[in-house]
Amino acid sequence: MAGFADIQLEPEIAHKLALGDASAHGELYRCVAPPIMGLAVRMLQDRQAAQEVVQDTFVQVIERGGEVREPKALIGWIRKVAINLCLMRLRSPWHARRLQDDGRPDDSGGWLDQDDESAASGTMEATPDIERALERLTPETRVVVWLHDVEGYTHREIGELMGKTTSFSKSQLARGYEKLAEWYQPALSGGSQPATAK
Amino acid sequence: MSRQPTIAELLALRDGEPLPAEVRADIAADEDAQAQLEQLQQIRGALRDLPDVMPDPEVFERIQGRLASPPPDSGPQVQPLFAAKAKPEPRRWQLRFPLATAASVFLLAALGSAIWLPQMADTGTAPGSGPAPLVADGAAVENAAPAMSSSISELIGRSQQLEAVARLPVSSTSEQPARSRQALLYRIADLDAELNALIEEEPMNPELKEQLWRQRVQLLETLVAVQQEQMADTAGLY
Repeated sequence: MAGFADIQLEPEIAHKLALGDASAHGELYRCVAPPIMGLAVRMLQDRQAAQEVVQDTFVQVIERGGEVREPKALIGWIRKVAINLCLMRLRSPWHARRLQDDGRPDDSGGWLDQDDESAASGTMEATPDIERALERLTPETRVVVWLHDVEGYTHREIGELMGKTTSFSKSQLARGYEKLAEWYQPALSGGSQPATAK
Repeated sequence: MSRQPTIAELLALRDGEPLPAEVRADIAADEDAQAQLEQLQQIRGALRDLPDVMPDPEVFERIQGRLASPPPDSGPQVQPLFAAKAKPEPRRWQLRFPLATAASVFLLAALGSAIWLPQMADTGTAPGSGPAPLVADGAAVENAAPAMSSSISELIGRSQQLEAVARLPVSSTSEQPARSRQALLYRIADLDAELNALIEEEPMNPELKEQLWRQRVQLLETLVAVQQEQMADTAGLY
């Protein structure tokens, strides 16, 4: 399993960061950029926006890195910054507009206004590619599925992050799994097969 | 007779959440439900097995570029939090979109000319040959730059007006305005993210808030102008 849980950050790196030592930046980036990018690509489904999240997260961490010295707490904080930056982009109607300009099908006025049924409607052939099935979910549902099942957030935490209720998070997870169970068929390739991210 | 469990119930069982004993018993006794539960576990496993993703190599260079240019008045003195956050912004914008920055400056100048020049001394321009109207459908966008004394609420109102105009569909035939528009949309999305962050901060910094709203209005005005240009180009083809 990839992701933030596997990051092994040397205490020395966190210490150097706290002291403002720029020699720690490269090592920190090597450790945290791939999981941040993985998280952001899955949440946003937009590689360019995900790279902006990597940049913005990293700059925030460097500028305020001295506030957290313990490596595990630092990784948790970095993840939180990255998630918040992703959510901010998803809330912005301009994110939807960018997708539209990129020729993507989502022409909603921002994720909070999105008609979930229309966005996820239509038929899709079953695929052994979980990445493709995830991509097909609406942004809200996808974020809930990812935060709950991969990042380990509770429904209450997700509700708070998204400005919604706990039951909203539960219902989105159930809705997401209904779709994923329909679309994702690992047996088609003889097993689960992680796909290359966009 | 047992009933078919819902996905929400199966997920609750999978995740170890509280569930009525009779629902647990129903699931345990139902082969289909067991198969479904297995599938939900497989999906979660597949999601967790998805690999990390490497950013493009130049991303780290861009970060270093942003970090390398210190604020002009940086020093040992303690600065207000928001001032420290706000000052690097122009550099970030210029670093990320140098061409778009140049295009925006040019277009703002062009926009100002389009509005103000016809109001100056009569230069003999024939009716109808002047610059294209700034907005379609009679939307009220009258001034290129809001007065410096504009309040935040005025800026927000103006921003909403411009946003409504900017949402009008634009048919794309010319690449250059399309690229400028895309760069502007990126910048506006960034500004929205900053405004969202500001709203969550306590206490709010009214000066920074006004500054961000002012930037948003200016970018939207440029965006509208770019769209106008694009529409004019498209119309010229037919």
